[in-house]
Amino acid sequence: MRITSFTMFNQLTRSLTENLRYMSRMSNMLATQKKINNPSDDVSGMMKVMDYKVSINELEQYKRNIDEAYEQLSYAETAMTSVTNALTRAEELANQASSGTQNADTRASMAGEVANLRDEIMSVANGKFRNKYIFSGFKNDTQSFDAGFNYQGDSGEVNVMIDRSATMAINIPGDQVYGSGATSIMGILDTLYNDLMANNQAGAQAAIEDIDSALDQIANVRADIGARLNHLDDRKINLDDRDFTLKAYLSEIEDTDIASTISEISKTEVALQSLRQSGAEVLSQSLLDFLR
Amino acid sequence: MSLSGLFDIGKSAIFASQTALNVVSNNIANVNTPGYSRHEAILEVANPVQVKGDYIGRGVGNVDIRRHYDNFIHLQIIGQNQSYGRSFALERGLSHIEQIFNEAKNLGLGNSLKEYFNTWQKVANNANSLPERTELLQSGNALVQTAKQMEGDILDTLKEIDDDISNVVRDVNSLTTSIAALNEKISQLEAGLSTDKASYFRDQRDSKLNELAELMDYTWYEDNNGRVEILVGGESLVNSKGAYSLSTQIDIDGHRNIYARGKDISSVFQKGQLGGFFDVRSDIETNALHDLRKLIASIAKETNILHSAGYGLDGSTNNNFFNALQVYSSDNSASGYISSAVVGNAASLTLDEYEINFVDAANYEVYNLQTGALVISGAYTAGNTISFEGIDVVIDGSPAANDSFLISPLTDVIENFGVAISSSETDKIAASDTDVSITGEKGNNVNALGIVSLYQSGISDLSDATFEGYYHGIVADVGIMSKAALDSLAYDDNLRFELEKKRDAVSGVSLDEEAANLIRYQRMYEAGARIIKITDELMEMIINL
Repeated sequence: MRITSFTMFNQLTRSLTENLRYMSRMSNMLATQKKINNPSDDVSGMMKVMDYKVSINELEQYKRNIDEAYEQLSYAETAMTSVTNALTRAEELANQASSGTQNADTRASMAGEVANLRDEIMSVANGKFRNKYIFSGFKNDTQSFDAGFNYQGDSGEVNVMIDRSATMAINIPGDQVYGSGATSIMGILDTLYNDLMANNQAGAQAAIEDIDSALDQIANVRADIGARLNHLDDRKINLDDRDFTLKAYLSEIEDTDIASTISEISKTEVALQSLRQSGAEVLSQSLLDFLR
Repeated sequence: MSLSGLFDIGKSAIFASQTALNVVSNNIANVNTPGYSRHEAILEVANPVQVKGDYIGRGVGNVDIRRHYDNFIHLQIIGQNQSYGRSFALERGLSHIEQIFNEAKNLGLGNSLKEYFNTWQKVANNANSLPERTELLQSGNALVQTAKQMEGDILDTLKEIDDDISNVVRDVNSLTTSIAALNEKISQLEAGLSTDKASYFRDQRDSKLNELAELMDYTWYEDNNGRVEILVGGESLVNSKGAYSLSTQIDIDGHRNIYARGKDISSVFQKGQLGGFFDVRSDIETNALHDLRKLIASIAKETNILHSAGYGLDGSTNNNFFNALQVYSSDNSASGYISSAVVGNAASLTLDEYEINFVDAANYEVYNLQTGALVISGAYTAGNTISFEGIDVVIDGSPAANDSFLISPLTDVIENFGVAISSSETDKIAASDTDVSITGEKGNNVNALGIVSLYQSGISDLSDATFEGYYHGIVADVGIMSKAALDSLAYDDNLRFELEKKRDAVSGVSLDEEAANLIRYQRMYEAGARIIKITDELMEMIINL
């Protein structure tokens, strides 16, 4: 095959261009820190990247949902603690008042305290979180209990997604916690208050049992909330794990291996260097140089 | 044999070497001229004379100038240029589209789509909270903006491709004009002589043919007078009478098409840049653009179906979240027209496109363009409503046999795409599944959760893919097409280079070779001159005797 200077020149510029193009691709990888900069760089890798990103986005939204659920349930738990404390104190008072040693005056002063406890529980039951009544079910802009202790909410449970196919209710309808009307926890304390004001020893005696069962009821609710919070903790850890794993996979596919990229660049530099040198030698000379 | 004969021999050597030096110098001068074929001086012995029974040479005779040329390689290069041109055009169009869907750089719909459904979750978490509702409207608008931006970019690319087509046609016309002019020169120069006499013009014409091959595929042959005739789709572009130009125009279908003498020949282009541009244009339309529109239509449709069943904080229901889908139609009929085309039942839409064909003036058939299936057929009555798969169409006038009407819920979908709820109407966002004005359940999030779960559901219109899955499919298609175009461009470029090398091996100028020839003919010239000098001395000697 005849080789002409045109062929040599073209061959050289072509090799130079190819190496430069490779070099630019490699340095782009370094600049962006990503192996895949266009879908066509690695179509199947790109698909995985997109799938992982979808999953990661989902997990992160679930984590945000969990945080929100956690806040709301923790608030409810705090509320239950106050109710328990108030009820415990009320039971003490009922116990004292049921004793024959008390008289009308002492019962009346106890009645004052019971009224405070009743109001305290009432205000907890009508508690607002982020300006929404948390014990009103779906009707969260309606006060949960009216002055007659009647439940005004509904039985709606606000579910949030905490995983792809798992939801959790982040509220407890107030009637399930406090009951409604005269038999509600506030109603029981109100009855006790009235009995104490009327110096009714038997009434105080009867209240003890009611308060006991109210305490049981609250304990059940607390256990329920506690279980939900535990579950959220577990879920969160689980989501964190999956998030971490997915991000590791993502990085494996998407991120540039810096060491190997730099060594590729150095290799290409050497190739370019030698091409330039040999090109300068070959192209600058022809037979004409020797015809003196 | 006389002494003066020696003069003639010397003279012939000088003349021949001059011619040869001319050829060599011309080669050297054209060492970098693309398409130039090396020429060589072929020396022949002059006819000898018979002197006393012996033949005696009379020096060097005619100098023939030969062009080093391989027609077979030239044909290969033309073929290869056609492939290269096609790959070039494909890559050019697709690299644009790939950037529009470049999820590697988080360009594209991915982020907006995720955010749109994330904000629905936020609304579900706090159904009657204003900030969450406002955020949802914002993310809905962001999705709309992204989709519009992407469609706009795709349409821009298609327009650029149309511009490219008309530019290429301009180049084709200029090339065919030059080729016709060169045809004339060659046929005049070579009239009555052997082919090849007009070798420099032939080189030029070969270059033009190569350039033309990169632009389009054509058939060609050379006639007896040395003219080439070029044919495209049965139409002559260049013949013995001259060149005929192509023209382009934008047709009803919105495409720029190519015409030769009033006839649309767009479909004949398979290769070259024109073939590539036509292919990539239809690839983009039937894949990226169509699929993006279908995805958006599906998101709007599914969201609206669930949303309109729910209730806003103000108790309102039957509200769309996104603008309702509309039906686009176009007529291909002289005296029939579509007077109305609307969505009759949004839930029954399949998001396919349809064509209503008239078998004769009295009967029509509706075909699904995606599946090719016959949807319904019936007898035509002007002004009656034709209903199929959620679409109601009214045709009026008097359509004739073979008239057709295109019906598409997709064409305008992104243009009409928008959030139907204004930022002052956040109460209309239907998170509840009960009438809030009656039940008072402002915190009810059941409907919002339903919309959230759309994100993970297989959508039947999208062949049971999820929105994300369908979108990933689009990105994969674009990536694969772009990768294939890149690969074939590299392959064709390489092959073309190898062919150029082969051509160069035959036709290229080697400076070393020419330098050697320079010396050779210089020495020949010197020696010829010496013959004359010696002859002169001999003459002088004789005269002075």
